[in-house]
Amino acid sequence: MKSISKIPALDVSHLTVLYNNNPVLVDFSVTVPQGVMLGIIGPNGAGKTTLIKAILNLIPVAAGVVHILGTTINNARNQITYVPQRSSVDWDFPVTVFDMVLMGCYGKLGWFKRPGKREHEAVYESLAAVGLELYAHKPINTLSGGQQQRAFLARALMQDAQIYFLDEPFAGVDITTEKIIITLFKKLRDEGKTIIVVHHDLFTASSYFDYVMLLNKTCIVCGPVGEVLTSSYLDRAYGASFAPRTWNVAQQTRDQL
Amino acid sequence: MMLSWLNIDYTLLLVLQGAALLGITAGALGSFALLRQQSLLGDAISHAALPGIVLMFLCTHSKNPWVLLCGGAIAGVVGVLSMNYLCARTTLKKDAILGIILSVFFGLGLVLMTVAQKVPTSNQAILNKFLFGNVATLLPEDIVVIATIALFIFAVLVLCWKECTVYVFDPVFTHTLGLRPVIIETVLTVLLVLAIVIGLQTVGVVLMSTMLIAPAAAARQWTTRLVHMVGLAAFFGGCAALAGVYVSGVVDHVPTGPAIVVAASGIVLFSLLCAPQRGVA
Repeated sequence: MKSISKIPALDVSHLTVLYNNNPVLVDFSVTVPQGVMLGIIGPNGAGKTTLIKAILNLIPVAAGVVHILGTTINNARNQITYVPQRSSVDWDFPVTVFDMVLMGCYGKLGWFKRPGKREHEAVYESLAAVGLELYAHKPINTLSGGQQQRAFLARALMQDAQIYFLDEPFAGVDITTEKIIITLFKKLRDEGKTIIVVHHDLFTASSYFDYVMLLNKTCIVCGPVGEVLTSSYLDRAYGASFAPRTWNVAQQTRDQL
Repeated sequence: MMLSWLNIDYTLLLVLQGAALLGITAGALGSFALLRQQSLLGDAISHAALPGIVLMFLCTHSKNPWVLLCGGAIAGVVGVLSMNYLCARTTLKKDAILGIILSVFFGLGLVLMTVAQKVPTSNQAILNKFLFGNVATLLPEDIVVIATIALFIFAVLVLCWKECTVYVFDPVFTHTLGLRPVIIETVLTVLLVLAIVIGLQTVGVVLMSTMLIAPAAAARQWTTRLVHMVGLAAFFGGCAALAGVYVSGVVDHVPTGPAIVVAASGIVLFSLLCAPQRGVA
């Protein structure tokens, strides 16, 4: 394993985000070390996607400071990659899988420069890493949901980033895709990369991630998965009436399996 | 010799060149507008250009179409900026904003045209040709201007091809790549305004949007790669323009702009029905 620097991957302090003057995130502070697979968990409307978008400077923030690898997002653009929700693009767009994955290197290339042989080879490597090498020259509208997600991941791999931000990569994907994604995350983490994932499903969190952040408008707790997924924290994220009961059921189900 | 067989004289040849250049340029740029799901943006811009053209006439009394079209381009840009402002500051949906800008600017243009009729000069007849276009009045120097603008548009498209494609496909991802979406958006909009400017003389304010949408919509049916789509849309646009001009040139009393639009619509209809995989028939 690569030695990991002490600079936190992500350092958010006192972040507040408003939407139509309603607070979505309030006084949000968290520090995430490098080299972890972090799941961002919280109920619907807790602000998970908003948090990622605010961190990446895609939406305006009302207050607060975000540091990525000790610097601002604009200075860290080449260190990060973002995998948006699958539904955020038009999959009927006239490009092949190859063309789409190639877009991942456009940031590093900069304005006007054209991708060359090296970038083309990198596309095939990225596609192989997600098991889509046979689909390179197919139009993207022929991909299934899981394959779309993997193509998005291949595009992110092209950026050779230190920190991966992903929004719901497991939503509606098949088992093959799920396994490929998890294997890939573990490999990246072992190379010292940081994986930060918005995840809607509390019950699969402990099997996917080694770090978990619970949020509901503000950060409730962030730490190793065993310390975080306890009923007292879950109460605060999901409300006392919901969490413990459902959580116990889930634990029992897993024990039986 | 073939030209004489087709009954093409010098004037018709000139008009064919101008119309073909417009068809090619509008077709290529229309592909980007179509894929951004902003097909009607071109319609709004071309209608928004009318008050600019008339105001320029009222200020300069010029009968040089390019002077008037400068006013049109400025008004088109003002129209786009107004749309962006309304979009950011109100809760109105995009289609409503497009409709408002289109009709307000066009209405203002028509009102100004009646004002212009009372101006004591004999040049105002030129204004009418911007409504439905009139290629027959194109002069050799107009073709030079049209060709220069078309060349500029294609040069920018080739230069910024990678930035434009990634932005049109996934603007949010483009932002996270560190490429500034505002710049790419501005480039695409300026090119669109330029393409519309060269189209206003040929097909006019009212029919311009067909030249942007129809070739692109037809081309989308036949291909799965953007570079092919843009090329094919340019080809379809050029063909429609040539066919329309030729028909109006050899058949009496057929207006050119509408003939081009009918030809373009024919290509769309054929593509919608017959394209492999995507066609309905």
